[in-house]
Amino acid sequence: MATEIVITIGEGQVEVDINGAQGKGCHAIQEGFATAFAGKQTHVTRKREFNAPSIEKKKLNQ
Amino acid sequence: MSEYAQYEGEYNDRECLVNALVEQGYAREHIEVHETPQQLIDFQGHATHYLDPAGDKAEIIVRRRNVGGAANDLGFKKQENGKFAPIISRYDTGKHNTKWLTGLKDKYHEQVATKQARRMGLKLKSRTVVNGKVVVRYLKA
Repeated sequence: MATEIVITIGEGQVEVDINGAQGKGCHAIQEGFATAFAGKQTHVTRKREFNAPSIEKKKLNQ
Repeated sequence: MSEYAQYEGEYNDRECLVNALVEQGYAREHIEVHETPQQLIDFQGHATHYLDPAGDKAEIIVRRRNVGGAANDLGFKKQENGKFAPIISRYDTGKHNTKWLTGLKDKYHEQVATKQARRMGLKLKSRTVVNGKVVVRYLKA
């Protein structure tokens, strides 16, 4: 299956979306492409994963 | 009014920066690219020393005669972090204002994206403008 990369540029900002994984800033293009395809994703944050682990952790701590 | 100020810049790819300057209206042959920083000159033909007592210098320069009117040289100086920062005189902030700098940044980002896509063998699917923003779609087989 082909991977789609969407780059949005405007107002001095740049965002990159690779099959739902998003990154911001020029480094997301320069490094994000390579890291995302290599499966490392160091410079790209995944959608829907924000906060999820920390909320569970909070509940456990309570 | 010739006083120079250095602005923040995230330009770490020299080739893309030069191409972005061309897209912003400067002819390629009017953009000097030097390995070592060269002296900037004001509208009266004097070497300036506003940012550096040893002389204001830059690696990428558009000379004042190509900037227009009674302009001073426009420069981009490489920082210790490898990124080029714009050096713009107060007089020229009318032309090289925030809007111009934002446009330069947008052109630079598109240049970087194109270069990276070419390097990775990505296929251009579409390029559209949505609400003033450029949306470029690439495919990787």
